[in-house]
This record gives sequence, structure tokens and C-alpha cells, in this order.
Amino acid sequence: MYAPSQYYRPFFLLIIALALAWALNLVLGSVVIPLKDIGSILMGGQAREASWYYIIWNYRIPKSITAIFVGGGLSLGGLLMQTYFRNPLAGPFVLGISSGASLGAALLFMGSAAFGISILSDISVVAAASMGSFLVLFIIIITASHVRDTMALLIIGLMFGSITGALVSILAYFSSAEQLQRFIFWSFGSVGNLSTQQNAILGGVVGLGLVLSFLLVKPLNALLLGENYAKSMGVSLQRSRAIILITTGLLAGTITAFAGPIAFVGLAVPHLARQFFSTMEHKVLVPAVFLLGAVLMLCCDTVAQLPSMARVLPINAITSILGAPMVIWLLLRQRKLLF
Amino acid sequence: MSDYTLSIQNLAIGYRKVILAQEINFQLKAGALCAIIGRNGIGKSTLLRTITQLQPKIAGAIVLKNKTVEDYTPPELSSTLSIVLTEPLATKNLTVLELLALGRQPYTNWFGRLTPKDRLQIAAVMEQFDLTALKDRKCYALSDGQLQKVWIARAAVQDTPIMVLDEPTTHLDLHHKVEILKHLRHLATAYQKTILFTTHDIELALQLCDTLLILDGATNPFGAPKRLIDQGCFATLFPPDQIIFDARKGAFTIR
Repeated sequence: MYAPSQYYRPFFLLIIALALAWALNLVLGSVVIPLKDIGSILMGGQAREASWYYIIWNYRIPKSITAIFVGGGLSLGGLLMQTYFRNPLAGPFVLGISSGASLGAALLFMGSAAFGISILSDISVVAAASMGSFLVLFIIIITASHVRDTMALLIIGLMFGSITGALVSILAYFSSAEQLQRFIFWSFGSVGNLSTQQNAILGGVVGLGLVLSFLLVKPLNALLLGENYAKSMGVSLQRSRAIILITTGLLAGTITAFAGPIAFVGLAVPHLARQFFSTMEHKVLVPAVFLLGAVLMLCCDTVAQLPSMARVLPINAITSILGAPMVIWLLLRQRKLLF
Repeated sequence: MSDYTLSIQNLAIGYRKVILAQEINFQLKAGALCAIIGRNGIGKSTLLRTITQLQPKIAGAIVLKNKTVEDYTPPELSSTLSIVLTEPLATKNLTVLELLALGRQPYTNWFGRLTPKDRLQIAAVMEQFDLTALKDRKCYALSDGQLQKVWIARAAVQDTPIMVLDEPTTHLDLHHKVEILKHLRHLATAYQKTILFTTHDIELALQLCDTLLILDGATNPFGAPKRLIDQGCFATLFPPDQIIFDARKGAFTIR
């Protein structure tokens, strides 16, 4: 039963972790900036070198905020999918929703010339990626109502990944080197280089996702017992399903549009949160998953920056390298992913 | 106004064009414990799913407390009728207490906040079902018998005048079957609930239930155990060249 006091301690620890991860993310980067100067820059003071001020305020801070939105948002999407499908392996990436977003983005990046569209604004990328993710989500829902087997659902998600991958290759084959490069760089994933306006759009969508998730707490808890029981306890299945799908589609679509297809965060974080808080209660899990996702994404980004080196690694590679063993570790620890 | 809490009139059940059973008629009052028996595949679960609005009926009427079931809003129905199904628990990571607390959903606010009254209700049901010691146990660590008891306790927490259960005694040993059925008997008698369940444990049902519905797809005899035995309804339930019914003992024997 829900007793808030029991979760004060883990939440306190999580907020400390977020503060540490955030600080680390600001301190470490390609350019070495002494801690003392970072402090004075953050306080609004002067730095010994003008470029440091610029790096902190115009690069590292926006990037860290993007990382928090991306990590938190993707993890929320993963939580919603896992509860809705009652499947521990569900997530925006596994179910092919991110692939759908990739396809949408690829069509825009590489097909825009062919279709005679020349507007490549932020909004159009978001719209294209969201539409792609909604399309896949929609198809998965339809198949899910016919196939009750959860394993089959994952295989379907995997097949969608293959189909979209193939379509993207075909698009790539017919596109120019410059278009292709844009798409490839996008697909590596990155939380940097977002303008203030882009960050605002991302923040708005993730904020909306967070609010909708809180509104969904009660039906999500009921869905843990399955749709029939949820219905028998007065949950309006159609309405809850629609809100869950719209929320996930918006989150996965927008985040993928801005930061590229980022793997494993949506899958692994909800499991870590369930372990850490030892509960299935969504009142706890919604904020916990968001915070933990933000912490993890900040850490992944810090690693990707390769502190004090000039090169930056693709963040998608880092989340996979860290995320995949994490899922394997969870599997080994519990023999099966308990859900 | 009749004093029946559950009234089934000329009901036909099935899927789209396939009618599984028709001409189903029976009435239950508050405090009644009724078992539905019948061969495998005759439509026992379908009947329960139809009554509980998990699938549409084909013809006839289902009346709960003087109002047809289709006229109930989802929240209204959830505080009138609770269910226990055969589908396995999808999330075995829930604790017993978390699962039981979900039974209060029809009464909680939009955020699912439990009031002191809700908590008292949950504690009382836990005590009644002897689950207090298990309350923090995760569901994957429970035996089949314990888990079934938790499911029934969850329905009891939902505190509805009508409870519908699909094969609550299947997969349990004789001791646990009897324990479950005695809990149901107690819920019906002490709390004046109307309880309808399907079962293959005909001999136990004959001893504990007020009424039985024999689903045979066509005539569907309904009545008190003694009357159904006198009418010879059980003699023809299974192929008489293999299984015979001893009307005196109320038991089946192999020929």
C-alpha cells in the first residue's frame, strides 16, 4: 500500500545523484575549465577567458538541459509502454517506435528534395518523426489486439525495425552525400547543438508528457492486473489507451527528432527504478523514472564528451554500451525480468 | 421491483454468429452462492464474461439490481460487480498489499489516494482471509492456493454486492479447494453477497452451494442441489457408459 514516507530516502538520494551528475556534466568537457572559474561563471561573474563563459552558457548548460529532457522523457515513454503491454521488454526502441521516428526523419532529410519540399524547419522534423512513431505505434496496437502473445509483439516490433531500416537504406541509396551525412549524424544521436527555441519545444513536450503521465497514474496501476480487471474496476480502457499512446508517441517522436534514435534508456531505466524503489506504484515510478532517466542520460553524455579530448562520441553508442549490459545484469540477477 | 440481485432472462451467449448456449434463465438473491457446472467448452467462461460485460451478449437480458447491465456506467458497474478471472497475473512483482489496494479503485479519487476508510477495509479483508502475515510478500513468491486467495480477497476489497468468479478452485489441492469454497460461502452468508462461480468440482459444489446452474447449451437446468439430483440432471451430465452418478452420495463413480 502506498505510504509516501517510505520513499523519501530513495527520492532524496536520487535528487543528490541528479545534482552530482549535472555538476559533473557541466564541469567535464573537451575544453578543460578550472572548477573555480566554472563556479564564478555560473554565479554570473567573469572568467579568466571569455571563451569559457561562452562554452558554459551557450553550449554546456543547454546541452545538459536537453540531456535531462531526453533521458527523462524516453524513460517515461518506456514505463508507459511496459505497463500498457505488461511486458518487461517493451520500450520505445524495442517496439520499433523509435525506428518509425527514424523513418519519418529520413523521409524528411533525404526525401524532401524528391517530394519537392524544401522547408527543413525544427517543427517539420518534429512533425515527421512524431508521425513516424505514431504510425508504428498505431500498427503495433492493432496487431496487439489480435496477437495476445507478448513475445509475438516484440518480434513484430523487431520486424518493424528491419522494415524501416530497409526503407532508410533505399532512401539513402538515392540521396546525395550531403543529405546522407545529415541523416547519419542525426542517427548517431546527440543532445548538443539544440537552439534555445528547440530546447523550449522539447521541454514543452516532455513537460506535457510528465503531466499526462501523472494523470494516468490510476489507470496505469489498474492495468498492472490486465485490461479485463482494469475495466472491471471502472477504468475507461479506450480513453486511457488513447492518452498512453499519444503521450508515448509525442515523447518518443519529439525526442528522436531532436536527439536521434537513442537506444536502451527507455527499456533499462524503468527496471532500475522498480529495483531501486521496490514498488510497482506509478505515483512513485513516474517521478522516479523521470529523475533516474535524467541522471543516466547526463552520465552517458559526460562519457560521450570524452573529457579533455577534442572528439565527441555518438551518444547512441554510449547508451547501448551501458544499457545493454545493464539489462543483462538485471536478467541474471533475477533470472527473469520480473515485472 | 424484485428482490433478485442478479436476474438472467432468455440469455444467449457466443461469439459473433456462433451461439454457444441459449435459453439461459436464472435468478439469484442476496446471500446466494451459485455454481455453474458443465462440460469443457460448453460456454461457462463465456457466460461469466457476458454477464460481466467483457463480451457482448447475443440475445436476452442481464439485470443487476433491477437495472439492465448495459445501462450501468463503468464506475457504477465497478462498485456493483467484481470479478476473479483465470488469466494469470501479468505483474507478479506486485506485493499482496499493493494488489489488494487496487481493489479500492472504484472508490478512490483521480490519483488513486487511499482514505483511512479504504485502508481499514483492506486491513479487515486481509484479516478475514488470513493474509496479514503475507502482506509484503511479492506475488511471485506465493503458492497457487495463496495467490487464488489473494485474488478473491481483492474482489472482496472491491466490496460489491455481486461477485463473479471463473474456476476459482482449479489447479488447487482438495484442502485449498475446500478453503476457497468456504471463504465464498462465508462471504455470501455473512455479507449478503451474491456469488456466482464456475467449477468442475461438482461434488463439493453440491455440498456448499444454495443453487446450481447446469449449463448444457439447451435447457440449462437451474435449482437447489437436491432438486436437480431428484430430477436426474447429473446422470446424463457425462457419458453414462463411462461415469455414473450416485444420487444417494451425491458423487460420481467410474463404471
